[in-house]
Amino acid sequence: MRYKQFTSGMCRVTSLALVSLALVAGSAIVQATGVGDFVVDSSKAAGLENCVEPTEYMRRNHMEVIRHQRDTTVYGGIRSTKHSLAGCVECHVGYDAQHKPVGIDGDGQFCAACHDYAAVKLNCFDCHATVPQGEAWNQVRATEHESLLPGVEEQADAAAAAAAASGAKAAAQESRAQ
Amino acid sequence: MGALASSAAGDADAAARTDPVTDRHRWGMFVDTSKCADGCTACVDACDQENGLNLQSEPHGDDEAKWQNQRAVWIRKVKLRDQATGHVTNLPLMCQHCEHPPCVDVCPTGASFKRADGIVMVDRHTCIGCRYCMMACPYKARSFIHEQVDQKLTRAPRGMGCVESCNLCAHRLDTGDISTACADACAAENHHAIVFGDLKDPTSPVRQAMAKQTSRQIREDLELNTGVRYAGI
Amino acid sequence: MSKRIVYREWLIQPERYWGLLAILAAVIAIGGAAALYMEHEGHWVTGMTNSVVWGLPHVFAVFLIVAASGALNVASIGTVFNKPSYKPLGRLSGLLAAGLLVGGLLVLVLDLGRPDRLLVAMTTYNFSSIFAWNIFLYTGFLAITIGYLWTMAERKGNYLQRPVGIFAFLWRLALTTGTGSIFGFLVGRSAYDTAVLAPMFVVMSFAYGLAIYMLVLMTSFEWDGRPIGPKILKRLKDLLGLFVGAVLYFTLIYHLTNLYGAKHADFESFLLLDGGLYTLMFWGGWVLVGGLLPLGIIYHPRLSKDRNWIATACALVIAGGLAAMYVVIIGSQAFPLEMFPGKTVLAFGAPGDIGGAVAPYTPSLPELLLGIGGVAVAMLIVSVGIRVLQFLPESLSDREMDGLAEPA
Ligand code: SF4
Ligand code: SF4
Repeated sequence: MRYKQFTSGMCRVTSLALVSLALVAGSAIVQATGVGDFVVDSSKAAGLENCVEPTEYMRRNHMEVIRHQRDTTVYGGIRSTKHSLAGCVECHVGYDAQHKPVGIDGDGQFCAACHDYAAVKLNCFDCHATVPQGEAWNQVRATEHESLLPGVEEQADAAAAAAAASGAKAAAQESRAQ
Repeated sequence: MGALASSAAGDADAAARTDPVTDRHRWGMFVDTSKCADGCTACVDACDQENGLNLQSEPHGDDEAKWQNQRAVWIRKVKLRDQATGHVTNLPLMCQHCEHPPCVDVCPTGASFKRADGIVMVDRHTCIGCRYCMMACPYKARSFIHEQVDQKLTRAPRGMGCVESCNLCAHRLDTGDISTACADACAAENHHAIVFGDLKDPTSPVRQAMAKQTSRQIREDLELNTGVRYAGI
Repeated sequence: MSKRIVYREWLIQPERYWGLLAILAAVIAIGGAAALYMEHEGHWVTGMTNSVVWGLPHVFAVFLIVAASGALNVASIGTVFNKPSYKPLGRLSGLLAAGLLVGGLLVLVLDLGRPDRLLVAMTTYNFSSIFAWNIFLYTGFLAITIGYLWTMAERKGNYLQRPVGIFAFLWRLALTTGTGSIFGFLVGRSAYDTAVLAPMFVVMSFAYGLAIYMLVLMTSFEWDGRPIGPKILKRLKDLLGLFVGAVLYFTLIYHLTNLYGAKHADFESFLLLDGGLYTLMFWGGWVLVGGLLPLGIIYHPRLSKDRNWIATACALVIAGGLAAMYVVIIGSQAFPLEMFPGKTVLAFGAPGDIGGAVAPYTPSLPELLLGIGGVAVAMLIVSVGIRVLQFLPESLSDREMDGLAEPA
């Protein structure tokens, strides 16, 4: 796919204002191919040099990478690698003026913008969360529960109470391996 | 070897796994029904929160009573009365993580599967929503997602048209946390009716609890060798 | 040499033909729209719940699939059992079987939670699942039926007719057994925990398939002014009587095994005495409408000679068959899973969650429309088939049939 097409496509799917904004604000930090990038400004990714693999590679092969990770996670229980979809969302999700995350499959957002452009159906988000919310990998809670391990009966209470209370919200401290 | 290669209790540095799960562990639970308190729903609430079940919303226009049977439920509080003695028993009922799971046997695509560590779950990527597994499960443990789901947690994907059930908080186990939301919540209420652990490790809390009391499987006659055992039923 | 059978395309007037097609197409379109609606909204718009997971679409789908294998029976009798008078009936039998199967499968597929993943279902198999085997059995059945039709229609292939016919016959027995086993494998449910289910499905398929076949045959001949002699009609209706009787017999065996063999007395009393709608469906639909009434007509000295009454008997068998499927599929799900023998379930989950009590189920309109759409698909396939190809024999008059009586 030619990057010129990427550029024109972006004009089609995202607003012009956003483009110019991206060009101005992002020209310094968005390294990969300069213009024509779908990386959303407000996302963490915009501030990073590279994706988890070289950008060029990710453009063409992200679906393979994600699919491979998918089976590893579902059948092998390995959730912590850099190739997880949760990682994509966490890094690429954009934020609105109130610093609230915007669904990554929303109009003009990272995943949707490019998929719309390429006219490829995107159905990861039929089931997967579109904003980072309640991640599994949670170092904080994991440490909390160590005390629970040997003798459940006795000293459980305090730590468990804390855990139950923090139940829904994954603690702020996401420590994705890498 | 992986982070969980050593016995469950030995994972001092509780880290996310980097090796695939193996059959060295088989996760399971022991429920002491005498400790399960009447009216308490701590385990159910905790599960709802942990697995994003509380984020489901009744579709506009659905019948309220029908919706109660359509929303996904992973764990239920069941209350029984013995017909002979009148004795009342409370217990939490969830997927029993059968060693020989009928749901897995019948699934046409292999989406229902048993992980090497004994956890039975659904691979949403291949589930076609035929609901045959729900027909096959003797415990009514499974739920079909009847509606579009807007809100979901990263750790608990959920979408219309697939079937799901309790996965023993696999996301916790995979990230080095040997516990389930329900067991934690029960302990936090000081009931300690649910003990979670490795059925293959004689030193694990679950095995020790089982050594102290006789336990049974629900529908033992089906010989499914369930991973969840109950005392006092 | 026996007399040659002359087959001819369906020659009804174009207005009538296109009118029929238009009606069928409209019914199919409505059914398709209903399916789309359910897929778009999700299954919450249906009456289905986590307790009754298979609803009305499955009733139609299973009925059509079971009837499909039964419809092929007529051809089997002609070739496999070498009954010459059934030979001219063979082609329509094959076509009808293919049509009913396609209709049934379509309904089944459109009721999936993720019909868009059909490709997954066709490419990833779990070979311990009887459901996956059924996918093979169904597609194989279709292929064999088409091959069988070819051996009947193409003179070059005629010599293969008997071996292919036998193969088709065995395959369809496997298919019906397979369909029956879908339920037989559900160990946790009292209703299905019996080996009688599979043979019961086989005789049901004979009865329902033949009833549909006879209706289609009589209607298509009538419209086209082709004669059906009383002899062949008598043979067919006697056969139907036999099959309907067999269904009743197996029904009895089924309940007896449930009562005395498997000790599912609670389920039996639900079905036979106090199950409300399901009890009514069982006695009124399955037994009376689908069994006793048609038998009464078929063996009535006067009524049994009247075509309209024979057609009525066929229609009753079909209606009773749908009721039977409703009882077998939905009644058994509505009845609570018995997990705690000797205990009464006081509460099961949050209030409103069903367990230990009969689960409510009210079929919704879209489900019904989808089911009827499947029937219309079957009818459309048959109508187009007999119109453009030579499926129907010119005549089934007694004189014609007598010419066939001597085997070659
Ligand atoms: S309890 Fe039901 S869902 Fe869970 S493994 Fe057993 S059969 Fe499957
Ligand atoms: S609903 Fe999904 S998991 Fe259940 S049997 Fe069908 S394909 Fe398998």
